Amino acid sequence: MKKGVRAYFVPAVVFLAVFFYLPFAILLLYSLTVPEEGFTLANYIDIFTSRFYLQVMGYSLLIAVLTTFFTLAMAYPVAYYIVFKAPQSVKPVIITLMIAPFWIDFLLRAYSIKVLIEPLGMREGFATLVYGMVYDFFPFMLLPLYAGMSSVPPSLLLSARVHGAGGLHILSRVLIPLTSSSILAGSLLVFLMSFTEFVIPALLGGVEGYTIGYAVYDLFFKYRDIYRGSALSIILSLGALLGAIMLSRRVKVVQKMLSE
Amino acid sequence: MKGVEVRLENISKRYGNTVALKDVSLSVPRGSLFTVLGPSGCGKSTLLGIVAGFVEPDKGRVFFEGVDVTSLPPQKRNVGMVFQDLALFPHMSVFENIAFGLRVRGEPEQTIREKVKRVMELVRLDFQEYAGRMPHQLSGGQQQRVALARALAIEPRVLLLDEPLSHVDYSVKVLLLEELKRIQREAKVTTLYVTHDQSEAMYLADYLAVMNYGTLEQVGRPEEIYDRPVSEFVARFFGDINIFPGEVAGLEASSKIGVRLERTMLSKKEPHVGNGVVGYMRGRVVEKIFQGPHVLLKLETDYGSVKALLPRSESSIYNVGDRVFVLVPRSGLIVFRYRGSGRY
Repeated sequence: MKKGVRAYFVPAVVFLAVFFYLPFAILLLYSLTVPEEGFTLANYIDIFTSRFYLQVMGYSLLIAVLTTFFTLAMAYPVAYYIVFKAPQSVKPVIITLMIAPFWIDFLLRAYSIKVLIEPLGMREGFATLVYGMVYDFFPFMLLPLYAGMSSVPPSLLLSARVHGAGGLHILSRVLIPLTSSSILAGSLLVFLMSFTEFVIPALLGGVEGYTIGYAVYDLFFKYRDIYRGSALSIILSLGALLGAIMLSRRVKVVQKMLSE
Repeated sequence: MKGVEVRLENISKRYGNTVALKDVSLSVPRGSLFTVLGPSGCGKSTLLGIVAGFVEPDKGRVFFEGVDVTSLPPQKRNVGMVFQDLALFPHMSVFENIAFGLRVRGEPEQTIREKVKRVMELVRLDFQEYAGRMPHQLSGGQQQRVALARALAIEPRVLLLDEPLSHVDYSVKVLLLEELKRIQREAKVTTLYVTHDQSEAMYLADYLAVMNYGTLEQVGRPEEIYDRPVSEFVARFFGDINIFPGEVAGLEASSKIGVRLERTMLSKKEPHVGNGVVGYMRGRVVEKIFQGPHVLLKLETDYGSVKALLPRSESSIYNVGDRVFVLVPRSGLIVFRYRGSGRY
């Protein structure tokens, strides 16, 4: 990196160093500590050998997979419509409407769903929790998909059609491969957020709301076990980091193909 | 491979308030190379979309070999097309691009391989060297060949080309035009070629249609259209021409007369009217432009600016500033009758 370029990053890096890297380092230290024993991997070993935490992780995983699946299944056709079918004048209107809920505070939204579910005949629990997550995370799936599809020239789809491809072939051979990096980006985003989410399970999950995010909360604030709490947080963070690294590699490959 | 006769009957298409095509009828003979020439926005790409099937006409019908295909979706028409941006699939190798139409038709692997090989041979792309490459690893000219090969691999009934050479350099363009002509002859496929470039149209076309404002102004062989354009627009768009306001004896309506640049003659001596010369005007040479085998002379006359294209050997006696006579010969005189709305 050139010296001149480095200067642009100074404010961001300073901010991150003070408010993110430093706390993260402290968290890491705690996670590797057991009082009166010193440095040890015991916290991690405890978590990975505990039936309870493994089950909570599995349960959170299920919620995250379902949330990701539903948001993807709904956002993909919407993104397709906006990019390739909607009249030019209507596009910004649709996008604005789709992200309009985000002008309202996150907590408020979760509470409003709590109010909404009763007339719908639903109760707090697993289904309501997933519904809340799908509702909340939908835009995080839609926007990357919209951006990704916008970079696919419409002539590619026309060309596929003219040369004999029906809708399914166009989807499976052209559109999905060319938007795979956006699918991955959106999915990873939604997956990570729903996997670690705390507020929605707490508000809408009822007794079925005990997810990994909840477990971290409990460890810190209920059991005051900041050591295991830190270890669990680090596990979540490293998982996210790993996903992000894998994704950025994949995104680069597709971007290269489309730009050249 | 064998093409079909393509016939369009009274095709009309509007986009909102814009008329893209107005009552267009057209017949493309089997196996011929038919060029549609017109300025951008004249409706020529819409016309291609209607033949391909992804644009639905408001009125009119499309026939392939006498069979009405108007309501047939594009994927069932068996048409090959090269798009302006080529539209190669960036995530597929050259082989997979060319094989695309065959794969979605569910042809067996062995047949696909044979057909891809054959069509790559036709467009002169070496199979060993290029089949495994990705589109972005190819030059512009090679990408053109892949796009053409993909369109031809399905043995289309009609081949459509939408300004495929608008983004390549002149030298590559000349080469590709030659190749295109050869490939079209060898494949014997009915071809519709849309362009705004008259030199491409002139080089390629068996038949030519000049389009303007959503209508076909004139259809014919290139020489016919060049020698006997029906309107001032056609004359100007297909070749360059001198046009003068003229009163033509025996014609009631007002009219204009035109002479192609190479038919416009010059003289240093005052000419006699008659004997093949219908009139002359006085002028002065203002510019002399070297164009290889020809020299273009720009002149100012009493009737406005005039251009004359002379063989290089004849041009040497005229220099910038010279006073000359511009002769209008009887042969090569084109008369444009007034057609209303300020158009001739």
